[in-house]
Amino acid sequence: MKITTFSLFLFFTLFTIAFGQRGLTKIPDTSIEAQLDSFILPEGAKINLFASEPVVRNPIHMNWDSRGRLWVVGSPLYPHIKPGQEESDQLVILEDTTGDGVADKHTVFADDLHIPTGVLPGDGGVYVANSNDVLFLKDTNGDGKADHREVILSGFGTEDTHHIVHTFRWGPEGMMWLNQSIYIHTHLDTPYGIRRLLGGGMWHYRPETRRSEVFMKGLVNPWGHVFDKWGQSFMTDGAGGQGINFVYPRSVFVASPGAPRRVQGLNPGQPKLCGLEVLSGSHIPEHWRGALASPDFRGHRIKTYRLSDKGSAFESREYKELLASKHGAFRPIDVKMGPDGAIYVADLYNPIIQHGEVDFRDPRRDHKHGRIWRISFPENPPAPFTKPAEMDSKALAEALLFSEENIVRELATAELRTRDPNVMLSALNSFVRPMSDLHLLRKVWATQALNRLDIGWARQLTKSKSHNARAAGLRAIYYDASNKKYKNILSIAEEAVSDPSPHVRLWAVSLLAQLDDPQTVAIALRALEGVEVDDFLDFAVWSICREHRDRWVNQMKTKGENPFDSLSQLLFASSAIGEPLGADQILASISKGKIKEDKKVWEVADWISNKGTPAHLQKLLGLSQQTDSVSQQHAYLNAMLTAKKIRKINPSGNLEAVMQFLHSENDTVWSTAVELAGLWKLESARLNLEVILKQAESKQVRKNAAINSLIAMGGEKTRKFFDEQIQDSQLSYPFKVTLIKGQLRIQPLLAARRAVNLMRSLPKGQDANTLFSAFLANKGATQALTKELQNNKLPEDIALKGMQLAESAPTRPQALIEALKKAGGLKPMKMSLTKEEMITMIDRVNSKGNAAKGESVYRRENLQCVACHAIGEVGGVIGPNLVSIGASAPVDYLIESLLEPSKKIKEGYHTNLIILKNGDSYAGGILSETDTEVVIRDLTGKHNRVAKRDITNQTISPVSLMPVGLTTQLREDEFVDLVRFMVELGKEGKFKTTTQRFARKWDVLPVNSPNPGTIHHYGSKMFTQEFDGYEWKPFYAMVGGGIPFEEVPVALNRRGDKYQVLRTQVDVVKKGNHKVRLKGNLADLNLFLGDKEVEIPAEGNQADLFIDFKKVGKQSLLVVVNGRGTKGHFALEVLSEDLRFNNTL
Amino acid sequence: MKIPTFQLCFVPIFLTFIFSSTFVQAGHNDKVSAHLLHAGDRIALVGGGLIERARLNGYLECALTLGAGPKVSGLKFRNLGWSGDTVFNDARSYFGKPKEGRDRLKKIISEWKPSVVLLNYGSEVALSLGSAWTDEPTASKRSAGSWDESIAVFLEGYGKMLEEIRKGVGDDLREIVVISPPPLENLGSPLPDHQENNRRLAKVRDALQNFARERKVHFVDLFAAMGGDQLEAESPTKAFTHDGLHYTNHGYRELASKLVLGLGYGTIQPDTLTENLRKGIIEKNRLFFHRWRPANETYLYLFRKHEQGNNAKEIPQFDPIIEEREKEIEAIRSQLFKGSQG
Repeated sequence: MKITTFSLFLFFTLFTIAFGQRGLTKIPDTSIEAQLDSFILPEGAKINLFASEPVVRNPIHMNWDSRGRLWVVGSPLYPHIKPGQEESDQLVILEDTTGDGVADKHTVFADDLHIPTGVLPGDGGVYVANSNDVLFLKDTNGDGKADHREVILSGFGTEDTHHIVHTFRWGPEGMMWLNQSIYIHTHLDTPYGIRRLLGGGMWHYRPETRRSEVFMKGLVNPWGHVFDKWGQSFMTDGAGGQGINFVYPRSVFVASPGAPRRVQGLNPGQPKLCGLEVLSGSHIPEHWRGALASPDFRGHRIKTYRLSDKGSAFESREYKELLASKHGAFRPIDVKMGPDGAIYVADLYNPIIQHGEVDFRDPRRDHKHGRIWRISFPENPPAPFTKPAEMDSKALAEALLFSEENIVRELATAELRTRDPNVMLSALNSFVRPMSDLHLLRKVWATQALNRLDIGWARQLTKSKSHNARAAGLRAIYYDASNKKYKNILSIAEEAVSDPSPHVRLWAVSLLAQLDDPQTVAIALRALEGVEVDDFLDFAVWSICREHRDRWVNQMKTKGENPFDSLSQLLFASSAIGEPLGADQILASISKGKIKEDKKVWEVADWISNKGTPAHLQKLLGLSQQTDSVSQQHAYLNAMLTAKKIRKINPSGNLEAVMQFLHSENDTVWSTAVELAGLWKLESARLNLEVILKQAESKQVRKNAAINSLIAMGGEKTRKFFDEQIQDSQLSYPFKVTLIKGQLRIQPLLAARRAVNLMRSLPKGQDANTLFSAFLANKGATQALTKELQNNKLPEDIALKGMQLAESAPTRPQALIEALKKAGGLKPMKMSLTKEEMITMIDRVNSKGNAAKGESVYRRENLQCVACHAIGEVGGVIGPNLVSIGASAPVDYLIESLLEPSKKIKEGYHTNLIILKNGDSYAGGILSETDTEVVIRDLTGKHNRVAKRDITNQTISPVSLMPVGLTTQLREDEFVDLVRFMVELGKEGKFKTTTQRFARKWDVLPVNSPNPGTIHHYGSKMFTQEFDGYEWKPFYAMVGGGIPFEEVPVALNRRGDKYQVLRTQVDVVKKGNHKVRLKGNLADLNLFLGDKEVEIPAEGNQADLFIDFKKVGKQSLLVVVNGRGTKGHFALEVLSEDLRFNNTL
Repeated sequence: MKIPTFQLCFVPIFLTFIFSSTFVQAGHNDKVSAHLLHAGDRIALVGGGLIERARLNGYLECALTLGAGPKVSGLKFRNLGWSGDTVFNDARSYFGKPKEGRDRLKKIISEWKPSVVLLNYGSEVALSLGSAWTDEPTASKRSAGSWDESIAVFLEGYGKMLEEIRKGVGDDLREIVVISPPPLENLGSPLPDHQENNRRLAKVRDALQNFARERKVHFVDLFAAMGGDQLEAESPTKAFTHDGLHYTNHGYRELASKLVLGLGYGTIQPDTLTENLRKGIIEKNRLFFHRWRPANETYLYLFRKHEQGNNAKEIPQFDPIIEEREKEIEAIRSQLFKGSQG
């Protein structure tokens, strides 16, 4: 019995209250010096304070104006205005008039704002995000304060004040760009009609035309957006964890409500980011230029990334850290290049971030401080800067076209918009010097910023040799595509759709989506041919097929023929819209053998399963008889099964044909056919199934399928058969459990009786967890078990386990919990701490906690932390990523979350609870949703497809998926160490993930694995052999990248000679000799690339090795540890740029 | 913000209060009785962005408060406008289905029980020919159909909304006023040309006029009153909107006076005192907004209330402050009328 450990510990701690105050009230030193001392900077860099409180308080966002002044909004009101409180947040203008890098002048431009989250000077005033509204403020009398206030846009939601409209930026084309986060539901009244955006996403707005449009949707907290030098958009996310996201028109990302399909970010496993800037200009060292800098506000640091072209999109790779700090209140949340070429960082200054988990009125929340930091490189001269506001038209035009300082061009663009367009156009035309593609693009942008796009130049760009320029030309035309003044845009897009570069094709398809022509889809589909199509391009074509559906579908219906060049295009388009258009033609061409590839057949079968008619399904049944390919048989059967389960439809004709597969030797084909037979109620299968179940030697997978089939078939015969089997004393316990799992769906009360009987006499070494879980997963079964327990006793440990499982079940069945307590005679367990106990606990964590020990507690298999939570790139995806939890969450929050997981639930980790009409419940995250089904990812990571028509109730559960009581098995010191480890996560030091590229995701062989028995012959190399008996299990490196030898299972023990086996995958970008670093006791290590041994030094603890990679792509690296109890750690790190580890799941 | 205390001694009151003598028939043949508002009436303003933004300048409420005349004391207003709203109230929904928006409106209506409801919808219909103007699943597709289909959906939705409002309040609801949307302005390129939209808007007006007659509710033709029937393609000399759709402060002042005239009331020349009244109204509206549409609803009332729902206790604390402001508004109003009656 482990339950008492923690309770005893709580009792004990009551005596030590007096020492604990420090923990709860420990606020970081608020002095400037304390922060300055804490910074860690790259070589050659210096940091100084540009401005601070009382001038700037809790700054959120900032932008420069064309006079070189920094406009900053901050919000001491955040997170929520109090009754009686004024709307008093400020917009302050900061100015460095002496050029010493310190703001010496400040003006409060407005002091009556309500949680302003965006600021953008321009158009003779300033745009400000003010909760529901975007305001335009202006100083009309020259006193430096706003005296004119106009609501420009209204209708932004405020469902969560750290999600409200934010991240303002001028685009190079002269539009204002603005973002909103996940909980926001926006409805804008515009002169063009209502525009809506529900959930996260990005808007653009052109002040001259007052047109606002949605550019992309999704992302949880898109708090950063930049344009690269070719005008492509990249965004960060403050929760999605995919680092840099490449976004393009109509793209849809994580968390967009109701989205049937989404594209992914470029760096899965990254921490939460806020703000984004391209490092640029002559002042900073060259190697930083072009890197994207984004603050990891939880980890008190600024991360950077480098981009390179890949397919129709980009690849993003982590680069060095720009800044780090140990100061707990340093919260970098915006970063901007300054006119002097230095890097400016807005520091919200707060020990507490966020207000979902930490109380609105938590006294530790800071409402007073705020800092703007400036990072410069003193050895380099400041960047040259002339205020664009003071430039004449010629100088302004020159700056726009030729300045190599990004900031100058950006501010010149804002300035340009305030000038006379005719004067500026002639100034832009006055340069005779030769222009590169980039200069020409800037010229196109300048005309667009004046709302006078010169389409001739844009067109010239689309004919450039550089694919970047061609894409940029298309993007410029994209914004003006609906302007009737421009002709022949369709032909530009049509030409570009077959461009050799997928990147250009992506923009051609985006441009087509803006046009009215009836041929847009037919043209867009050509983008899929002749190049390798990645998900980004595929998505764009899929999206236009849907958006312009009526055009081609009507055409097809009136003409009755395929409107496209080929059947495969029709298949793509029809699948995209989810309608069975052209299905007869396509199925006929499979029948005639014109479509043969497995992949295509699967595609067709899936599509028919989702959208086909019963007649189409009958054709699938026919096709399944025609083919000998096991994969294709499976495809057809699976499609019919899905159609039955999700859409409740059967093939239109005779179903008995499926019986032929009951002779199949393939388990999957057999099982699928058997399940169908059950659902179709084909009694002719019954006997066959009963035989399989009665034979002890039948394979488990066949047994499971047979059970499902018999249950689906139902009837008295099924009921009788099940109960007889369950009561058969000859059958094994696990098999009875399987049978009860079936029985509870047809006879819940009887199943509950049988289950309780089994639980009361559990065979040795067995537990009742599976039984409990099965009863918890169905409402009727839960009730039946509750009833059965009213009059029965259970052993205490079994009842306790049941109670823990019930406590963390998303349905939280109170009646069953009570019944289990009664049946097991359980005493109430204390799971929360009083204030005093909490103080004591915090003190212990701070004074005694050992983070290194805590990490090994964290990694214990029975705690299951790793199964659900990732730290950085590696680990499960069920719970929040803990990569910087310590740097962001207060200690009391961590302790509370371990003890009472449901008390505070992380954004995006709320459990969706779906209850079906038959009582089954599914809990987890919604992955996608269509008209007919919902896909939900459950606690085990399994994707479940649920028919919408089966759903009776769908809610967001107030219960965390994290099981209650996981930590009760820990000793006091272990719990303290575990908390301490979490406290250190993400903080400067050993428990922050580094940019070093370690192999973090491994597979290992379990203890005493079966093996081919050739160890005496091959030695360690034996493990490189393909062998069916190997059951690889995931295994993750520690935060520092290392693998503790002692944690790796011993796969083979030959008289004390131990073999521990790990493998990982490396992605080779280029062939050749590439450098890796191996750390650990080299004498005991063996390394293999594929089946080839890599030579490593016979002794020592570290070696840099060159491995000859003869091909590109994913390859397996195998490590065998062979010794008699090897101690310490090992780590494998790639040093070459041409090698990658893909550590994410 | 505190409302400046009125000092009777130095404010010369001259009310150009031409009560019911210069009565403008803005409503054509649907002239509204001059006794629409009674003392102590609770007036709800319901609509889209036009109504929502009226809270920021107070002109509508100010004109109604004064237009109703000296005897009609104690009027209370609640601005329930919501940007982007339609007759299906879909803009008012958060995480749920569009219908949740209707529920939100019903909730406040049935709690506050207005005696008079003023409604303004319709410009979104004129602006969206051929594309859906509502997310409500039962109406969205039809709203993107032909003009006749779109306007039919609009009127059906409007009718349903009226029923729901009536049901929500019960017998306390005395008057309903349907206000036609004012015209869109042509401010010249690059802003959009609204000539076609205005032609459609005139049809919306006609349809609403019939609708109001059939349903026996009041109707005010702001379209005509704001010159909609005379508007041609060229830019107006003095714009009332800053983008063709959204009214400027100056525009709202005009709109307000046309509305009260349309309701059969007179207007009052602004002076310091009316300005103070208006400021008081703005401040009251600000407070009511935080009360009715607080930020952070996700945590206060919705699916994360188990985390921060304890803070919801603060929200009703706005009530006494709002009441206090309403008393001050009433005090200014009565002082304003003292002169005219004395």
